[in-house]
Order: sequence, then structure tokens, then C-alpha cells
Amino acid sequence: MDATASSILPELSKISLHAPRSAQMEETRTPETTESDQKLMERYRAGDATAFNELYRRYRAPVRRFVAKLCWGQDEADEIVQEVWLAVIRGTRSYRPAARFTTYLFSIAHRRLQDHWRSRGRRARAFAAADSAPDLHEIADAGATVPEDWAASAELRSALMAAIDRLPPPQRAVFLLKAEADLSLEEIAAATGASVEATKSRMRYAVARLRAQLARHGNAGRRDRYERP
Amino acid sequence: MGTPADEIDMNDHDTERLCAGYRATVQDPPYDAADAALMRAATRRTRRLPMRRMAYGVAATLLAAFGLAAGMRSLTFSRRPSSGETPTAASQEGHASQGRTTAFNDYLTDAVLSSASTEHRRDTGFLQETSALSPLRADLTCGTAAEIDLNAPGALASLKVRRPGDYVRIMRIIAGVTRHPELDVARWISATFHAGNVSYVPLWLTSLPPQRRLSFCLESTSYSVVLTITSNGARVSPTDYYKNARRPLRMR
Repeated sequence: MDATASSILPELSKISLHAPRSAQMEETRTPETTESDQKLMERYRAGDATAFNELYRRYRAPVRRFVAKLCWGQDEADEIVQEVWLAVIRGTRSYRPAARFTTYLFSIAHRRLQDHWRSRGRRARAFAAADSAPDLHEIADAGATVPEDWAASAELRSALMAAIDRLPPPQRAVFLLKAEADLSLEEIAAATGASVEATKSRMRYAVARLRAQLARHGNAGRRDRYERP
Repeated sequence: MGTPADEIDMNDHDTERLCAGYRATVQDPPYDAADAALMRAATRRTRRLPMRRMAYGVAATLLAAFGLAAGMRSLTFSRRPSSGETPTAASQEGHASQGRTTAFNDYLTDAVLSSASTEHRRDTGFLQETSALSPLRADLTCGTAAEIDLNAPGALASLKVRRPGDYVRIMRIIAGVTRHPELDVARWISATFHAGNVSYVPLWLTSLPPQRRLSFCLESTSYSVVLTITSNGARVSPTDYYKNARRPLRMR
């Protein structure tokens, strides 16, 4: 492991120790809840509206954040989120529990986003260009020196969010599907319609870019701190 | 030493920690009017379900009753006119019963073809609902009137004498069928001629020239006709298509 990764990891570990998942994400991770999602869908298909309310309560925030991070403009994001949930409502009768509900839900969300990107052709081409592979050695070298006393947790978090926003959208989508829905590699591939290898590659690049950008942020913070009189 | 990419995997601590950092940072967006609207949409769908089920039940019961009645009628009027015979009221009644016994498949096809959207066409529930209610709708529209088979020999000539108003309208319908898109014909006939229970479906298992089965209801009279579609428009086949249908295929 190179110097960048080894110096960032202690800081990231602080986050993982002190920041528990939200209640809804805890629920989505356990296999019992996965079954429960399917049961809720079956109950909703049978006419129980409270089952849908429960599903909506669990996944509204992850879906909304996922779409908002990959969309241009809050209005468009709201519209896409509405379309996603309406598709779930309309597709209740044809829903087959072949996969986890989260995979089904985020597949719909990703398809709607693809339609959204496609409708804005020029930007979509920029998307495709942004997915080109960077030189990972270069990325890693850019943040080779990260100070050990880097950043309080809040600063690291804001830097992380900014770094995610700077990711190329395909890589950002893969990372967000992992972070928001906790999907496996195969499930992300199924949701995005890409091959498993391509998905794995995107995730690698996303993580590498995030590490590099966090390292750069750490360097800048350190310079500011030491240059202060 | 490998590239950084080689060291990163889905289960890598880096990935997990970055995801955890992300989850710790993000906040749940507040509920707003859009959430309430979605909840209402979801609840509305569940309210419609019992009504739809009740409609299926009622439709199935009525369908069974009408099917039984149609069976009784076909037993009563089983005679069809021969090729040289002028159609009479009794023979028209006979065609009516025959039309009713074959009507169900037509209604199924009609339900698919005339439904509003592609999404609806794929909806099994919609298909069941429409196909189940179509015979009921037909009987409500036309009552229990006889269905006149316009392909029967002399049927059009007889109609011209007995019901000239209907004859003119039917001629206009036949002339205009090919001037409208296939899926729009039924709507056009309903809207222009105030016809009820309009069905315009392909006659399956036919080769060139294509044929269509058109049936509709003018006031209290049902008409059905098999049209041959040619480049010059639709024409009523002068022959008895039932007779042709039973003719064995000849190998050439």
C-alpha cells in the first residue's frame, strides 16, 4: 500500500468509528430486512398501503440523495425521484422478487437517470469522456504527502463530499450505489447495466480519485495552517 | 508493487471507510409536498384494488349468464342460409347466434388493439377486465338485437331496400375504413356514425389479400362483415366466407 493510502486511512477510520449509519441504512443491510422488503412489496400488492409507506420511509432518502448527486438541478432531481417511485407503484403487480428490493429500486433510478442524461446529449458526451481511465500512478503521486494531523472530522467530511461531486458521473454512480444502497459488485453491475469488470474498474478509479483528492486537500490544509502567523 | 487500483476492492477497508464517511456526512432530506403526493398515489392504487376485484367478480358472473343465454340461442337458431337462399329474419338470427359464439376471441383481440396505451396493452389485469366486460358492454349497447351478417348472399341488397339509412352509413364506413389508421378505425366509426360496440380486428390465418372482421351496432341492430383489404380500398367479399373457411387446402 502506498504512502497516500496509509496516511489517509487513520483519518477515515475516525469517521467509521464515530459515525454510525442512519437507522434506515442499518435496516437495509440485514438479510432479514431484505426479506422484509419483499414481504412489504407483497403486502402492498395485496392492497396494504402501509407497507408501501414503510418501504418509502426506508428508501426515500437514499434514492433522493443518489439521484440528486447525479443530476443537474434540484427540480430535475425531484422530478426523477417522483418518476422512480411512481414506477414502483405502477410496477407492483409485475414485481418479481428475483433480486433484492434495493437492486430493483436503484435499477429504476439509474435507468431514469440515463434517460435524463440522454435527453441532454451534449452533457452526456461529457459524461462519457469523463469515464476515460486516468493514470492511477499519477493520481496516487499527487497526494503522496499527507500530514498525519490532517483535518478534524467535519473538515474531512466536507472534503469527501466535494471529492465525490468531482468524480466522473459513471464512477460517482458506482460509488453512490455502494454507499447508499450497499449493493454488491454484481448488483451494481445489474443496476447500471454494465459488466462486472467495468463496474469493478469504475469503483477502483473512484476510490483512487477520492483518496488522491483527499490527500490534496490535506496538503492544502497543512500549508494554510503552517503559513498562518 | 502493483498499481493503486490493484489494491482497491469492493471489500477493501478504504472503500468501506469512504462509504462510511459518506453515510456519516449526508442527511435525510425533509419531507415535503412531493412525498405526500406519492403517498396519496400509493394509497389510491390500493383503494382501487377491491373495486377492481368486485368488478371482475360481477363481470364473470354476468359473462357466465350471457354465455349460457348465447348457448341457448345457438341451440334454438342453428340453421344458416344456403348460398342461393335470400336471407330472412330467421336466417339472420341464426347468423347472430353464430356471431355470438365466436365473439369472445374477437373481444379479446379488440381489447388489446383498442386499448389506450402500450403500457395498458401489457397489463394483464386490464386485459382481463376489458375482455370480461366487453360482451356485457355489447349487450347493453345493442340489447339482444340480431346481428346481420353482411357477407351473406344478398344481405346488402336486402338492407338497401329495408333500411336505406343504415345501408348508406355502412357503405360510407366500408369506403372509409382504409383511409384511417388501423387502430383508429373503431374510434372513427364510433365518433362519426354514432355506432356502438365497434370491433375492427384482423382475420387471422389469412394470406394475401388481408382481411378484417368489422362489427358494429347501429341503433339497435348489430352488423358484422368480413372485409377484404385491397389497394383500391376495402370490399365486401361476395362469397360465403364460412363456406370458404371449410374448404380443404389444395397443394400447388
